Amino acid sequence: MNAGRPSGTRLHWWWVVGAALVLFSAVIVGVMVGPIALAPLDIVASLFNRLPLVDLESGLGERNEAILWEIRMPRVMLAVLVGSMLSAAGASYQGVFRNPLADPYLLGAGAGAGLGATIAIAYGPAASGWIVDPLPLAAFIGAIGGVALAYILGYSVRSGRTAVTLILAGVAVAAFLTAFQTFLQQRESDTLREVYGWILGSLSTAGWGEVSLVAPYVVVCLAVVLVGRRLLDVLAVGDTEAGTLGIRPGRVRLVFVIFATLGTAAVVSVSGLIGFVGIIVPHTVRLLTSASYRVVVPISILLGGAFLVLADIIARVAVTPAEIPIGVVTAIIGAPFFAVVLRTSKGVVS
Amino acid sequence: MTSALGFKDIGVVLGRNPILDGVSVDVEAGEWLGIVGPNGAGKSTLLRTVAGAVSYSGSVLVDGKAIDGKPHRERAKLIAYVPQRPLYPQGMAVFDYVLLGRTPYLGPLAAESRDDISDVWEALDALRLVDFADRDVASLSGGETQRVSLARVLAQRAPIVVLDEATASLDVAAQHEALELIDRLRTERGITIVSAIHDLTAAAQFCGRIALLDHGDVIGFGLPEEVLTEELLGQVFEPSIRVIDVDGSTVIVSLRTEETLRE
Repeated sequence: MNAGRPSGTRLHWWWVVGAALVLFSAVIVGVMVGPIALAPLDIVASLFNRLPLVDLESGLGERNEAILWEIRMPRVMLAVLVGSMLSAAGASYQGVFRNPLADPYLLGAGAGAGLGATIAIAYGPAASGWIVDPLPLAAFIGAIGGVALAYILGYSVRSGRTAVTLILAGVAVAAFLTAFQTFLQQRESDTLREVYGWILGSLSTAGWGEVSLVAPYVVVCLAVVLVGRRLLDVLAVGDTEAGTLGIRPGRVRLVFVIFATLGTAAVVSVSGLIGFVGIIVPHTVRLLTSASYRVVVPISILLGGAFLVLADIIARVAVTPAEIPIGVVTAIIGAPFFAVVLRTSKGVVS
Repeated sequence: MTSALGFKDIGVVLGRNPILDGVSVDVEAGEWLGIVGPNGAGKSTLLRTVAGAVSYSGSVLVDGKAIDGKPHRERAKLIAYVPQRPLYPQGMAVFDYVLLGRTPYLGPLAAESRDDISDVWEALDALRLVDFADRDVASLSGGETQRVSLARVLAQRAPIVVLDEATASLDVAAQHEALELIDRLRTERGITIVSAIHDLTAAAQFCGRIALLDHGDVIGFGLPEEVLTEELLGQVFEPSIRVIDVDGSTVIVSLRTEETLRE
């Protein structure tokens, strides 16, 4: 009965395939580029070689195989995880707070991680003396702690526990934690450079260890956000109406914040505070496809990973042999790109 | 699918202010109850209790059974609600907006099924919105968004529909058209309608029964001709209200008096 009728918004398969191809291409380019250039066909051959029952001659040689699999691939994979997670978290925050400016650091995750990292760098014991590296652990705890504090503060407001009170609580917590972090940073000025470098974000220390540390969190958090993304559309009509449609807005908001924050805390703990990804990627996807979170979330996950891989390539090669902090790249490249998309799009932004 | 609705001794206190004080009204299945009264009388609050959007004492009954403790989803299958100023999210397609009406039927993890999609088409069809399906819901006119909200309500398939000042922002023609549409849906589908209405003439012409609210109390409840009298309305609004008969239809206006003209 509906043949030929317009379809409303669906997650069209060609969007998914297109975004997946962009991600795949970004990964190939990401492992290609470096002081020693690797041929793309050799890389693809080497990739397929990892599959069971496939035996191809990659032509890379032992040394280049090692460069590909031990140095470049873990870094690119970490970029994918970080970019996907920050984008999905950004979309979640924008959805639950009905605020286009919301990003994963809105409720204090960024400020908390920054404080945790600063404490670890300035006062922490040498990493070798511990079973776990104290820096990511402190950043992780700081990020979770910041958001928990914002939630407790926001919920202690007696009249009206709304999204707005929660945002305001987050702003207060973030300001407080940032002030404390700045204070410590100034006091311990010999670690200033290291702290500053961490805050701007970097994937330079990435190895398979970091990837396997972060991957479980990212996979679980992305799965939850993906499965529940329909509810973000319901929240868009406001808490009262969403409530009369049969959901519990406060509870839905809490679940999304928990998983968006958990994932963000995990990736931030190894990558530092890479900014702008959580805002620019979901908005670009929204402008290019649809405003429905049924589409925005999955496509943002794919393109967010690709975006961060490309940003990291620039961070690596722009001023070799030095590196630009990736957070600088995401803003320098991301902001003009976003401006172009904004100008040429249909103007669909929520 | 048609259901009766009852309010039993509804009380609401917001902060320290009593908003509703023991309101009891009942609505027959398939009937249109209009709730009238001055600003701040508690009309919206009463409607929000039905929709479960505010905490209250007393009981909301559907077909004689209290639904107060029911989970949100079960309640949403019985009662659909359109607030005074619905939020139409920028960039959301009309189709997607109407699809939200299916929310109570979807588990937290489920995606919409083929049946849900066809329910949406049916609702769009009933409100002549099929050609609007891909349009941005935030870009539509007042009359069109009104129809979109009604389509969402139809997709929700609730036997009881609660409308808070559904037509307040529409021009005379669009308002009349919207009210006719609501009445047609009521008669065709047996939907029970409870609506707050500011326009007393519209209330007199469209509602089967009227509840007149003032200061959180029911001052009058009954057929329009019993409640919408110059005496009662004069008490609640202002003394210069006139109830006039025009070709068999009731028209309610407020006249300028000598006193106000002189000022």
